[in-house]
Amino acid sequence: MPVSDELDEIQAIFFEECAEGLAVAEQGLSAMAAGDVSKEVIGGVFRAVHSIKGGSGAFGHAALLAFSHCFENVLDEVRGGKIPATAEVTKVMLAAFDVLADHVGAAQGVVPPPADAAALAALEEVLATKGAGSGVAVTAVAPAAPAPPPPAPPPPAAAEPAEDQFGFTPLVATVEELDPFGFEPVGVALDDLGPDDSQPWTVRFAPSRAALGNGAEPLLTVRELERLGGVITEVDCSALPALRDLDPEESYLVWTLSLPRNVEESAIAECFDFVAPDSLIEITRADAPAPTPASPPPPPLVADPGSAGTPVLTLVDTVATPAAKPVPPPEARPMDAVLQTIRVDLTKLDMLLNLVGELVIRNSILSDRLSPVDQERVELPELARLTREIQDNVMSLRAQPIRQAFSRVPRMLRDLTAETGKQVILEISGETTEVDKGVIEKIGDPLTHMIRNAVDHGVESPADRIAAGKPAEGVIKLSAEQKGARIFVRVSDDGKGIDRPRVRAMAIDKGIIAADAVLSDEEIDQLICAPGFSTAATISSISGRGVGMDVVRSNVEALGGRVDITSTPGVGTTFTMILPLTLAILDGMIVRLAGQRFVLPLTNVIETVRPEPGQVRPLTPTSEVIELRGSYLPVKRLTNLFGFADAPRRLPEESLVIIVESETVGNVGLMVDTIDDRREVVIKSLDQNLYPIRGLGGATILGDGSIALILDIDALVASSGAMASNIPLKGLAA
Amino acid sequence: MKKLILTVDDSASMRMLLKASLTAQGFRIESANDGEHGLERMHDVLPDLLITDINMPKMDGFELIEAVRAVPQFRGTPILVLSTEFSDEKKLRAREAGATGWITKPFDSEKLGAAIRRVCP
Amino acid sequence: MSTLNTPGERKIVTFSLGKQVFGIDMNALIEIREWQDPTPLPSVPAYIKGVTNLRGTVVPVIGLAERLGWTPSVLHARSCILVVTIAGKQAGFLVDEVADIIVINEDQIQPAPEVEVNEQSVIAGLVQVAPRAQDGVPADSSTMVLLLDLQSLGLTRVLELAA
Repeated sequence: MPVSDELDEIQAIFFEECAEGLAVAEQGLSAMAAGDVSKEVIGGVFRAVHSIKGGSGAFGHAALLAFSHCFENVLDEVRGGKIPATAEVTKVMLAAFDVLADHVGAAQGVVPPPADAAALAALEEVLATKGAGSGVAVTAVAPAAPAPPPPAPPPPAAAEPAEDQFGFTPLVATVEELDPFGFEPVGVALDDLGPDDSQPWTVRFAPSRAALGNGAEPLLTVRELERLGGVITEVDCSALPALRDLDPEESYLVWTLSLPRNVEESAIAECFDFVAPDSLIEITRADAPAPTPASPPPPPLVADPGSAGTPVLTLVDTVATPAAKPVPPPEARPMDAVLQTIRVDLTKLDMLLNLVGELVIRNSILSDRLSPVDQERVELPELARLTREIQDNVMSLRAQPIRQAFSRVPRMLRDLTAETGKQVILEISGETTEVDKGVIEKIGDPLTHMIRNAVDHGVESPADRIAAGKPAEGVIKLSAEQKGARIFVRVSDDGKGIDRPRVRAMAIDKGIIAADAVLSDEEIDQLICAPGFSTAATISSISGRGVGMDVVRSNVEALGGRVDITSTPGVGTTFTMILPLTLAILDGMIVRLAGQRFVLPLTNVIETVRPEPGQVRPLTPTSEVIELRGSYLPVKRLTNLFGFADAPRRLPEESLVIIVESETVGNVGLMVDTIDDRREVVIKSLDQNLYPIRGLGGATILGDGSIALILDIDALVASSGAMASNIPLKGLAA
Repeated sequence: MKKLILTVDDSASMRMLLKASLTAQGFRIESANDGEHGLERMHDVLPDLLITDINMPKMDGFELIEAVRAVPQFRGTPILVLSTEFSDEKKLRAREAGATGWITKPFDSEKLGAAIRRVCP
Repeated sequence: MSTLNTPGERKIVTFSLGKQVFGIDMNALIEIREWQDPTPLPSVPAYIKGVTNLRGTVVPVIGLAERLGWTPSVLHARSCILVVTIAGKQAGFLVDEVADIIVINEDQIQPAPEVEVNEQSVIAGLVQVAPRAQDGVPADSSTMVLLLDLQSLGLTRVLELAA
């Protein structure tokens, strides 16, 4: 067996698999609770619990094994249709799931072992009543039997020896008295003085045609018998036809061997463990008083180690023929596609991604260098297409649905609502949004904390809510969406909002802000994330670890993101984590503005217009519109938006207006100087060494090594006017 | 020349356990993580023995065994099922599909070794 | 140069900015680059000149003089950018001229004088250094080198409040 270090490593992987399995099981059970009881869903839950059971046995976690075994039994019957997946049954299984998760945690030493008697009793009841139970748990049902014992055949009772010459009838050996070395027990005292009467075994073996058909090699069985001390005494070749009539797949030989008396019958039986059902096998002992005849056709038995040890093992074809029956085609298993994994070192993947990024850039440079004629040649688009395919595939390697990060929330919420007495409904959306694996791993804790916050400080007690005219149940929405080069993960509640006066007072108390500081609402909200803000007073008994919002924010910033907070007193609060996609390749339009190049994401672009004189008109002293096919769209000059106030103001007719689609404001025209070309660019995050800048979705390095900033359309057009470019700095000015 | 065993199981920890145990007993190991993958690897590595789990997504053990047996080249390859299940029904099904033998998990290294010797020349 | 110090020893890169001589730990230095106009950024404080391409990474370029609250540096032939790492992030600082790499001992460092009560000082300490003899002519007086506390120059700290 492997060394203990190795075993630890392997076990660590097993626990990872348990985590994945639990996630699948929970989703499946939630789906079932919501009414989806299709075969795929149930099958997924079954397999997850089955895997956990399998590994728990291998690593010696008895309690986990016992519980998962019972749970699996129920699931097996449900998937087989023997127990209907009613709401009651699903409820029992959900409760069992929670206990199972705790068992897994206990196996890892993270939590104390759970009390599973109630859950086990409920499962047993479901099994016993086939789901038609009364719902009342039967009291004190013993926990499910532990996993079946390893398949060692129970030592058979020894054949009864004859009366010895002294007239004593030796005792019949019982199982417990068998010598551990497998020797026949000695009878009453004087027996061992006399000659040993027991006879050697005689084994006859005639493999069937099927024996060869299943890849077995009967000769190996013979060899094994020889290793036990057997000697071939006879080979019956009478069935052998002439060579030309010989069917190579048929078996014609019968072996007879003699084995020493001290060989245990079970050991002999084991040799035939895998031999085909319709082979002839006889194990006899010459002196047995009741000779155990083996004559065809012998009674049908399956030669399994698990069967009771009978002196004669005769194997026959049972019900079916060896011919393989066609198995019904596999059912679609859509859920599994998500969790199939190969383990890959993440640093290797990162290197691969970087190289792909470089490949894209080089592609661009190459196309730049070619003359226009050459650019039309077929090789270049082919190269571009291949590069794109590689890029898509490689990116998909690291990206995983964010669902994994969301999976622990329902359980946590169940615990939180139970403990606080508040009632909360959870709405999750966008869980298929794909996010870098590293991000998934790191937002778990921040998410946990934000959910706790929402329950502790956001959602009011049912009584308070009703008094405020809200439904007793609060709603927490957990969502993820991708916009351009960013992922937005939101936790929003419909609770009482941030108590700004109180937050402000606390911040002053802790010296985070001066007493006379003037702060906007957003700034006050952000104070929650200031280091040193959270204290015991603000952490409920559940928060436990004492993790404050400052840690949440620094975790998010470490990922290159930021935390946005919006809150309305009495209405609710939304925390948004804005995270970058670590490597993204963007289809962009390179535009020029005041001599500087920018990248406009192509997904936003609708069309480009070279305005006629008069097509762009002022609306107010500070805004313009463009008339396009009968309607008017606002026009923003990027020079203004970026505060390049001193750039020479160009005439609209000398510029281009690009009509873009924004989420917030609808269609807008962006005025730029020129358009260079359309190109795929690699997004380099600004957050890596700097910090997120409103209006920018990152930067890219162009073919000549210069940097072009990537525009974030929504942020740009939503900003209420020019963005100041020179903020006076507090404090350090001399 | 060491014998080559192909192990198929959707649990990475189980594959690793098997590999550790069997390598210590002097075998070479290749592995696959589901039935489909396993079938491909059969053609790639041409093992002396196939050990497979039953409950796997995409293509379960029974299907894999049937698919393997359908390939003329592999009709004589010994196949062992390694599974936590042990019902007669399942064993029969495996037999019909073409399995040579069945070992129940959790497995004892020695018993596994003995079983392998029993089927693998 | 080897980066292994004997205990107590520190290797310092010194440079001039205005009339002062500053020093930073060698460990923090990634490279020294010629000045190149960076790509300007919108909505950033004046001391952030823009970003530049450092072997495929986008790195901010900071006018150190302005960051310290002085009048901006005037660019000239020997202006260069010190690319350093601060708390895992990289940044380039515009300085007037790189002077030398010196080895000092910890106990030579004198504490910085109290400047303003509220601000965390950017000066970690002072050290008197005897400049090398140049061209065979012995230098007259020793120079006071101001050791910069790079952590205090980190970008995220200041802008939490300004965002």
